[in-house]
Amino acid sequence: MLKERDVFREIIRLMGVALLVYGLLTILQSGISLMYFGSSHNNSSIALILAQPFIYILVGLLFLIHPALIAAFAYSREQTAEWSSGNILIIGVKLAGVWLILAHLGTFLQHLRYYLEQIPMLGRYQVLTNSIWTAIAIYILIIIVGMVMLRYQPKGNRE
Amino acid sequence: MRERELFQGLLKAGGFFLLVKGVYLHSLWASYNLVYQGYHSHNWLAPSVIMLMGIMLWAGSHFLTRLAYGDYDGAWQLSSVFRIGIKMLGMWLIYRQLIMLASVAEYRKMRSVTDVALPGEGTYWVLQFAIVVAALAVGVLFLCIQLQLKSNRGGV
Repeated sequence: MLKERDVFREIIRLMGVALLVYGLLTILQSGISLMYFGSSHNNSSIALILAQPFIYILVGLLFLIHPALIAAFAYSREQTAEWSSGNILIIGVKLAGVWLILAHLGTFLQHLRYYLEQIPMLGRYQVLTNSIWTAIAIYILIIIVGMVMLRYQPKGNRE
Repeated sequence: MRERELFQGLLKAGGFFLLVKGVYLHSLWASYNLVYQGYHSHNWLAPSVIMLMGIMLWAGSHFLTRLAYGDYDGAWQLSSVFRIGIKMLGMWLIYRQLIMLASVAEYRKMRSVTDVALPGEGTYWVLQFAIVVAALAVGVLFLCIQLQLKSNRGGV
């Protein structure tokens, strides 16, 4: 019997391949750019530029090799009901949660780099704050919202 | 439902989306030109590539599906999520690299006007071009690969 959790696990496995390919491509392009034009950056900036694709590669490997771990985290309660089209919305909420977490991890690194290099454009939340700590609080809050969305499992979904 | 039918439908939907995006970007640049009266040069290449890609996906969905699936005509099942996803990932890689090539061409055109080259810039662009070609090849491989997966796969 096909369950919602099985479909979610397959999508996570697929996202793992996509993140791995994207991370490898980005690290290759960033590496070559740094090799030729990296003299204008300091060491911590170089580390932050390379950290973003490296995190994508690690998350991609985790998703690809252990999709069941992510599925177990996302579906804390046991499911007995069979997969139906009504489950698409719930899977969509969970995937939106994953996107929120990954996008904000990436933007946070970019924001931190702009802050360290004292580039006036501070990142996505520069309209709300000029302080890095307030920005960190916003990022943490949004990542927590992403986690809640990832674990979203309405009561009616149990049976 | 057959897996290849779903793939063909996704290609058509993606093609339509890219067509709309290309037209939208062209309109945006045209309105910039109108407002700023030629102060901004019209970046026509990247939106045109997006439009052409959209038309290619929409009109050529049947051909692309045949290229991707060959004679395989299985019914949709759980493993199809991964198989279709890998093929869509291949299409996305091809799309991204074509946009990258268009951006590089725009940049080179702009640099040819200013005519100031940084040291080592030539080999840098050769390497970037090599990455684009390699990524295009991986994209085509992902599109055409015929994965043999179990219909109901385990958790790990």
